[in-house]
Amino acid sequence: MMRCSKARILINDHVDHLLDNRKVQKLEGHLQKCPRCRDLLAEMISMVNGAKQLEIIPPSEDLWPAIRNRIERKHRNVFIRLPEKRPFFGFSLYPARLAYAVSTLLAAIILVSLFYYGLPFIRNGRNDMSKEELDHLKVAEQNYQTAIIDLDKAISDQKAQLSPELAEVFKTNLGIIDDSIRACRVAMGQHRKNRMANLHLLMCYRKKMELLNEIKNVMMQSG
Amino acid sequence: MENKEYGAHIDFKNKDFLLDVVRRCQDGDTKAMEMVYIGYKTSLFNLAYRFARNYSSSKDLLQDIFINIFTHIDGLRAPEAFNSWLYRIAINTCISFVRQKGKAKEVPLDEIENIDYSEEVDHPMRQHLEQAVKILPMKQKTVFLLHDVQGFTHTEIAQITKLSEGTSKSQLFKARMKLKDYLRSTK
Amino acid sequence: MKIFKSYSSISILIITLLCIPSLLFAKAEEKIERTYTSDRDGKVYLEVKSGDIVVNSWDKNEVKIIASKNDTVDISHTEGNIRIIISRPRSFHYELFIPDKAHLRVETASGRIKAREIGGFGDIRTVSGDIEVVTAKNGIRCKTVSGDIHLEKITGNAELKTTSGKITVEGIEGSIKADTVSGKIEMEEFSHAEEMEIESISGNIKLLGELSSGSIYEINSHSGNVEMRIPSDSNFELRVETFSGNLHCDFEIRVSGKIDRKNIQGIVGKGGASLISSSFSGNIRITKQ
Repeated sequence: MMRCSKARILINDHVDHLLDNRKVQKLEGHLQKCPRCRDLLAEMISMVNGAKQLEIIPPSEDLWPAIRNRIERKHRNVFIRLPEKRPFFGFSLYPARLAYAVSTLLAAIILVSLFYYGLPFIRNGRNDMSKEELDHLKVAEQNYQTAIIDLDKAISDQKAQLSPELAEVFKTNLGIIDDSIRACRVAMGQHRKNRMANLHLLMCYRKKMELLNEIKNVMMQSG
Repeated sequence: MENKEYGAHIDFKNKDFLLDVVRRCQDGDTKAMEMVYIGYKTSLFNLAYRFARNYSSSKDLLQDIFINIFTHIDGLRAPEAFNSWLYRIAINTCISFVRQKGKAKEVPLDEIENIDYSEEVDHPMRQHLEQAVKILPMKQKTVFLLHDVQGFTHTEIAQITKLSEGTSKSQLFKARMKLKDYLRSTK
Repeated sequence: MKIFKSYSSISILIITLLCIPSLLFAKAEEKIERTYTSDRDGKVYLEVKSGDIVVNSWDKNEVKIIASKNDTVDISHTEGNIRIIISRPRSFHYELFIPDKAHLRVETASGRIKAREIGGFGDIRTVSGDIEVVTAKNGIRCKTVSGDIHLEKITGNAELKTTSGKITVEGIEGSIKADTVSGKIEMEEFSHAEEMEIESISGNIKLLGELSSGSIYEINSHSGNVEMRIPSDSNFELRVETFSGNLHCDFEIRVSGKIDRKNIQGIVGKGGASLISSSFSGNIRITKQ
């Protein structure tokens, strides 16, 4: 016997005539025994027909002159064209290596997590994070730290390939980021739930990971 | 997708004609742009109205939609995909508009200008449905408006919104269930 | 003593005379020119191990490279696109001429890159050299570690990244993404950006330009200061936050959320653009032009 949860999905497709005969027969068998699903089908059909007949509202006045004026003003300035985001040439410069692949995957997970959890924080306007948000951030922080350890290992064998000047630049900037991480941790020691401190800590971790990736790429390029 | 219901008397289903109009728009021909405006204004206005939720904001939103269309049209590499590209611009403009304005105040239907709802007495479903669409989350609203109101297929919706066809179907299912619950509660 | 002095002078003279040929040899390293046909809007890729590169464009369907006779040059042609890879142990000064609508990608590990009048998309990378681009008509991407990036008259989107180098932009119409750890970021005359995303750890950020309605501007700095100067009739939604820095805004704000010394949220004028900025300890100032 088909469950109602499955029947509901089939009802949705049936209203749009998307079901083959076999599925229609199965659905009809369920509908014969289930008054709730029969009511649902009737409601869906009524709603879909109602949607098709929703009022067609015409714009009350001709907006074209205003639109044309704005277009012509823009043409007098420079026309902006945004290039599509597409890979450029597709030349693979750096051979894939296991550590690089792992850290790239981790970076992708972290960036998705940050997008999912991070951006709303900035726009919500609350000072303190909830326990759930803090837990999610802790997971993101652990992921970052793991990725940083992996990258460090991948780099440590190849240090000799960097020129002294470049090594100094990287060392200085890693130091700046580590100082920033320490400052965030001190702040969180006093204000554990503070949103700004937590978000900036994650930002610093991300920058550290990006910088370590850069070091690895430069080493592979000069190797 | 049928444009007939929206009174378009410009036959954009003629592929050669459409390609010619699009190319002329890309060259900055304002006459060609006006043809696009005439052909799509009612359909896009109805889309805008159901996002903006009041009549006067819909007019501003419609202007923004067409400005974005004509500003970005020379980035359109495949003029044959003009229809889905145009609706994608329109949907993105509507969503940006709603995000910027934040949660718009609920506007009672009888405060909306220039719409004679005397017909609605015979069609109470329409009135309730208009109200119900306002409460849908963005993705569900987008798919519902494109599929059930404007008549796009899931394949076309996938091209417009960059969702998969499966996601389009599941969003439509969720939208309809939500609307059904709302309509039941208002009976 | 006199004899010793005269012997020293003679020795110096002899040594100098012996050095002259090698100096001449180093200065007069023989150049070669190679020219190849390509599509006017094709792709040109140049990779050089070490050396300065100057790129100019012209109205020909040709690519010309000026390199050293001692270089090992590997060239491949596919469908109107050209790829040139040069390996040599010592640095050289390369010149490249490309069609005025071509897309360009150029890389060197150590060396400066200067490019003018790029008609297509430009992708320019170096590790320790500076990058300078004057006029790019179709967007640009620049990446360096310790070098500076200097751009003028850019149309289209820009994606810029340095670790410690300075980023300066004079005149850009398009979206901007700029990222540094300790370098400064200064942008003047930005406009028509749909999106702006600027991030720094300790470098200061200074922006001077105009906001576009409907666009999103996000500027985050950890300890660097953020200063943004925009027209006095700008309309935007504002959200600025800091942990321990100071906030200042010249504009009248209709507050729509929290407001305190570390957090301001509200609308300026009619709203439209979104301006979001956060810092940990840096100061944030938004002032009128």
